Amino acid sequence: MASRPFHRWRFPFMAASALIGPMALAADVSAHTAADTLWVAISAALVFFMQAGFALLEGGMARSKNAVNVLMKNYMDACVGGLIFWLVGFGLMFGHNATGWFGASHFALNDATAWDWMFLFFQMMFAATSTTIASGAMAERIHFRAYLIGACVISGLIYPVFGSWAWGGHGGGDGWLKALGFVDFAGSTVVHSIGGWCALAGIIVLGPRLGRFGPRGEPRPMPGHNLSLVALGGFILWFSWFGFNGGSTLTADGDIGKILVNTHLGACAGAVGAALFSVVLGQRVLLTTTVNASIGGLVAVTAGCATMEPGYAILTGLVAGVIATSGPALLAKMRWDDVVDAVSVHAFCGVWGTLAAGLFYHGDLFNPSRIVVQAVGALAALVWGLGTAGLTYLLIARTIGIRSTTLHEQRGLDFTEHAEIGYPEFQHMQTFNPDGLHR
Amino acid sequence: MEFEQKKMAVEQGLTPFLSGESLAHALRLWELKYAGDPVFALVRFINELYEHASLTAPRTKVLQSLIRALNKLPDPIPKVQAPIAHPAKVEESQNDAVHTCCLLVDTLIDRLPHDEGVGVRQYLLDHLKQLKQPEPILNAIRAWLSQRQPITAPIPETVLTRIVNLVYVALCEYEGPTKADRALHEAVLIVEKSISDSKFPVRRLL
Repeated sequence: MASRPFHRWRFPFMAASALIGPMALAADVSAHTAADTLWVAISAALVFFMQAGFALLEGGMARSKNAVNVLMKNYMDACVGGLIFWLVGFGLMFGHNATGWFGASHFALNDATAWDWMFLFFQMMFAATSTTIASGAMAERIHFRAYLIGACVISGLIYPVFGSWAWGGHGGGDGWLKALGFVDFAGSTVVHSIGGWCALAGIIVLGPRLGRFGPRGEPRPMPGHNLSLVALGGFILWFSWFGFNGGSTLTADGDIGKILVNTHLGACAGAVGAALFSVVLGQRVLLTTTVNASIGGLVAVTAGCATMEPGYAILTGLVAGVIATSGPALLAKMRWDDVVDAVSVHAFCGVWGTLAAGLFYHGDLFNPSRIVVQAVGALAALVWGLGTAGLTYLLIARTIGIRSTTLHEQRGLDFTEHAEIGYPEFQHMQTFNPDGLHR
Repeated sequence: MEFEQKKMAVEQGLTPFLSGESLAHALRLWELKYAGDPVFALVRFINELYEHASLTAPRTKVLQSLIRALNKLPDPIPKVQAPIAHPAKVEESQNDAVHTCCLLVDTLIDRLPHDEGVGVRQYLLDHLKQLKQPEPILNAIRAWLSQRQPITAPIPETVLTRIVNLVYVALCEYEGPTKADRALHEAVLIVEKSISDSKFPVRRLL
């Protein structure tokens, strides 16, 4: 989206509109056909469906006593995120960007062109995606209200401000990264790395779940309660990604085919890369690793799927598969407890994908200056995402509290936060008093 | 003889030979395994101490020092002031909630290998302050954990829940959370079967 939209958005008109004001974009309606609108609407709906994919994937990877809490977090961050993004996020990200650092118009959009509405709707779904990435990483030990406050900050400040650097300018002006020539077509960095770095900040502030690491720091297995949900979540995410990347053209034109092929190849190669890597290491090929690696491949290919050839998309996915497989061990060494390996899949693979988009840029392969710009963008995301999210979670921890008590961890957050359990008729192990459940 | 007095005497007896962490470790060992034993059992305590601590003095000297310190203790404080009652009286006064809690915790710990069981009891002893209870109640819990003396002091249900949770946390640390979940669930089932006539449901402690 970042590298392409300017000519798609009819630059002369956009520049003029910036001078007139954010609401005077009516002429832009003619610039987009009904097919464009239909395609972006379908794509936005597909991107929204990613919430279901994340919910199933993360819910399946959590223990049964925390399944409802994970589902609720995914459900509600889309809700609060949607409201906040409409209120402030869209303006910060796509409003008139005079400084290159943030937008300053289009807040609480109430009067706009047909295409503006479409664009807002599509971007709202992207914001929800970035926000929800952190939920799985911090599962099983974060207060629900603390999580939701964090989600508001991500969708209202952290994500849109970085987005304005890389993609800003819809309402006029330009983001500083975009002006440097930063390539991130659909958001390997803007959406996924930012979400991943927020997740990392969250798990550092929270600390690991009870007993996650043994006395010598060795990680203890804490298997999820339903791998069928994990697989289904993986399939839904993969399916929805066709809207995520394909819709980022913002036009229903001939480029979509190649973008979708690259997207699919990236995911396939991610899974195959992880499987091969596991075999080379003499390890079993795990379902959770395979699903995560395919998503890692999708994350990585997202930045360059419009600007690289299929062979490079495969290479990007293969490497992402290896990163998604080896990343969790690195986190475990640091005693950072990421329940769903979101940091490896979204942050690490996002960084790799951003570099790959520069390395394998069509017609300009391995151009050092382009790679440097890509690295600057990835580093900026790390510093901004980790820093602001870290401060946010620390502030939450110091004020209303962020970490659930040990009693809540024992009982499970389904019981303590929601008074509901995922499987009331056949939840085998009850570590809480069932009399306290909602009737 | 009062538990705290005995402990102070043991500390006094060991001070010429051990200090710092080694002394603290020795006291924990005594507290967990030998506090309820008669004086002649000190030989076993010292033998075990020599297996772990870097003691250079002859065993007889350490034993003499311990016996001397224990013999200097004054007469026991009248039982009416102590939170720990005779087992015979306990049967009459023990309320269902405390009894159920003790049974659940003992069931959880007794199923563990010996060393882990000792570790879990020690974890509880180290974290009793978290319960924020008056000293007599803490002493009663201490005596129950280290000497298996029944608790007669009335303990609020919320505190009993916290005790069970402390055991759960210790199990998570020693065995991992998956096993801890299973252990807690199984222990609840065992206790439910063993005291099916109790008016206090064990699940209220979860």
